[in-house]
Amino acid sequence: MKTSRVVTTLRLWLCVYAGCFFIPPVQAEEIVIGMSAAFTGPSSTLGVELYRGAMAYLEHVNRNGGINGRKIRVKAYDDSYTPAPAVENTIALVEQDRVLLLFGYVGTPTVTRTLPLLKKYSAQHVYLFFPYTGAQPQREAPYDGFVFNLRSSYRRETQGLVDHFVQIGRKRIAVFYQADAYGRSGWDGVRRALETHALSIVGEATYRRGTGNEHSFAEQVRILQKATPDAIVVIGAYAAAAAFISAVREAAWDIPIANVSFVGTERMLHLLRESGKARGKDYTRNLVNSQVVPSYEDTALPAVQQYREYMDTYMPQPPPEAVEKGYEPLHYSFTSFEGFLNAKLLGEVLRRMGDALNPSSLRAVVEGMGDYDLGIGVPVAFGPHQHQGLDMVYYTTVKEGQPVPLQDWQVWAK
Amino acid sequence: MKRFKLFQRTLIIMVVLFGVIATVTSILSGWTLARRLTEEYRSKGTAIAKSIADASVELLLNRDASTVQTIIDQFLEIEGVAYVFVTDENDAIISHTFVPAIPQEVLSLKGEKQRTVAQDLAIQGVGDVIDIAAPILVGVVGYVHIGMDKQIIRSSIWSAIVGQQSLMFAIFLVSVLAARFLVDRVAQPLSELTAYVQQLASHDFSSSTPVATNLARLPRESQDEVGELASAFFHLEEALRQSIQNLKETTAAKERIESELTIAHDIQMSILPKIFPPFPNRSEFDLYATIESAREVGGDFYDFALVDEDHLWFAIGDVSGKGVPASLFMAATKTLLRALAGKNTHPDAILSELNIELCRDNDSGMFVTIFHGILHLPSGTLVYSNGGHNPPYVISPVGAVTPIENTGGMALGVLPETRYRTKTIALPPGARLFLYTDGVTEAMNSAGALFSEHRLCEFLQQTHEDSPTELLRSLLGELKRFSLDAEQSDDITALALYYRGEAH
Repeated sequence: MKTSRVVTTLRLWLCVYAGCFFIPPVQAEEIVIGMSAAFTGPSSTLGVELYRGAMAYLEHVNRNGGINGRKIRVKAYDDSYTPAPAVENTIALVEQDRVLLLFGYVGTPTVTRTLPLLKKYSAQHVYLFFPYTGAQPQREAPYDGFVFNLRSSYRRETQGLVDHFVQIGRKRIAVFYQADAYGRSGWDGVRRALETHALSIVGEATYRRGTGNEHSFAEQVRILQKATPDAIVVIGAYAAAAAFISAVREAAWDIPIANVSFVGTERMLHLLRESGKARGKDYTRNLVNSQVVPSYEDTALPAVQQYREYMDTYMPQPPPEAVEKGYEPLHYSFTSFEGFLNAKLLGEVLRRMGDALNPSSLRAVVEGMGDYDLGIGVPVAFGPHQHQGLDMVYYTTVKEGQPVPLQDWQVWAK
Repeated sequence: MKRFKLFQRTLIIMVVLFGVIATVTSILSGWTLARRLTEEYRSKGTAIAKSIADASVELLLNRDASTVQTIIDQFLEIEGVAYVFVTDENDAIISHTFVPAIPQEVLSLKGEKQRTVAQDLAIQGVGDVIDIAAPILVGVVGYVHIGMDKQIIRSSIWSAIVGQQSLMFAIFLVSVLAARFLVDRVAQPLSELTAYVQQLASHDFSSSTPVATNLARLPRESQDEVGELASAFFHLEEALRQSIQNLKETTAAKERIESELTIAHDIQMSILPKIFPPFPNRSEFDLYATIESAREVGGDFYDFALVDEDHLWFAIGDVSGKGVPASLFMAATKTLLRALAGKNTHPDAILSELNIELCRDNDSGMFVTIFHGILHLPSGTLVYSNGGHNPPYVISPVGAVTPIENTGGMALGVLPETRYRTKTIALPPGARLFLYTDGVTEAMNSAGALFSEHRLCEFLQQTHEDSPTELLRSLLGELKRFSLDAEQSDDITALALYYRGEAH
């Protein structure tokens, strides 16, 4: 142990020494946080919008003197929603960039593969803040101690969806999911939720992660149709989800389809509007979406007002990787709103750390947060055994192509 | 083209051999690889299944499907893994990697509690797989199933075979090129040799220029049969040139001699009287003579002359031997005889004197037989002397053929002291006299039979009414008929005299 400390010290010295000569000196006040997310590929909207939402808040903070006089810089890498780059990015962020903490990771397969690294770096107190996934692994032993979650879990989202469907008499639930840890997490949530009603999944079909919007899902639709479900829960990302919904509607099947928060509602609806327009059909009917943040249309909420104001004021740019690919940012979205809330909460955490930006004190600071008002109507609370900030699930449906809060499930009553 | 044929044959053999080797090695390595890879895949699958099974115990007990999914997803990245799925203790699948859905075929798969089970399975949309089921905590928690893609085994085998055969084919190509090169090395000299031999056949050896060829290097370059063949050909060319050169020289000499002999023949003939009838104003007799040399020049001769108004001298002779020596001897003899006959009227004295002349300095040992006589034309009295010659025939006016009585002298040129005598007979008007050399009676047919005196006598009887010209012409015809295609071996000379008697 002593040797490794000596080595670490040496490394630090070398680093500082080298840095003095070769790298423009990092502002001592700067707080560097690391992010790895999908900025390219068929799930890029999720990473980019989460980033933009966070940047809207952080930009505001930086322009107003930073936190305790220190500006916040986000070191962001693209993993295009693939586990291996996510792992490599994390190693780079921790070992080269020496970030204070990890923030705003996107996706279950990426995060679940990163988790063991957090345990490996436990001596350096590397914590992952508010990943954009509702999967279980980071909410349970042995990794729950290294992660702070703001958003609600998929289990809660799926439980809510199933409860509502069962309530209106739609008991035969089928699942269409991404064939990976994310899909499995949602599938598992649906299965557990149904178990509470003494029901089980009546049919299931899968797709491969990274499948684009142009792919045909006729086969999966055929498989699910055989199971004669009353409703379909989709655990996917926007590109595949939109393609699947189009395929279902093309099969003249108007079954209610529910998506979870991760899907990227706005981008999915955008794709559905596009393909619907091309075929002269409306693919956006009978859609439900569970969300883990309130609707950004609910302007009564102070956080929504703040979000809209900052987004409009700072117009945060996508990361360079996405700009390069010609990414078109969304105006407002659930994803960027979630990013905004993540950043706002992170800002509060950093504020509370005071001048001593020591990673080892991070956990204690967060766990010491009592009820904190983010401005969304419900308080956020963390504790020593409580790394889950929110448990709220909201539901939206589609009206005139736009996501709106769902008022009445009875329209789909059976 | 010959080179091509040679190469084609080699190529066909090589292609066949290559085909056989390629097939055999493909089958063998395909079979070996299939066995090895299947084993390999089985053990690989077993290892994966076991490792997932061991890692999943706690996760499954914690009932966290997505972490199990994270683990099995990682194994899906391993080459050859077609699918992974995990069942719980009730055989319900709680994690899997199937897209678009769980195939019916795997639902009935059962694991065993104590050991991993491998079984072959055909799954629609996935293909042929080996399913390996490993129990998790002796099956109490569930089972891990790994599907190992057999298609990968097949494509590995194919790619291995393709690689192997590509290498083989490359070797084959190199061999073909090498064979071509080697065959060329053998065939090139052979085809050059062929061209050389063809040139040799049409070469003009009368000129001293050798056949134009660059093959001289061959015997040096190829120390093999080809080299030996080439040097044999060179020896042949040299020998041919030598022998043709010799032949040419010989032929030239022969031609020269032949032309000289032709001249000699002409000279020889010119010394014999050849104008018939020789004395058209003399009606008391009719005379005709002929000479057919066996060679360009011969040793026979005849001669005749009117010694005076009433005396006709005639002679026939035959020099021993043939050819040039005989002809020279004959020329000397005939000239001397003519000269002597002009001075003397005694045939025996003429022969004696001639004999002495011929015997003088006769180192070559040649001799000559001569019959000659002097006919008194008004009376028909013939005085003659014979020096060893065939006695001529006297044919009476009625056709009785009798040889003339011999005078007992031997051939001239042998002994200088030989004595010759004369005899006298009276020829009645209408009688004929036939003188000949032994070329007539000794004319031979192809069966080896001689014309003989007997046949001659018969012939003379049959033709006793013919004129001398007719007689000799028909005799020559008769001889030709007799000897047919047999080569004439000796000079044929004959002289016929028809004594008509007193001038009318």
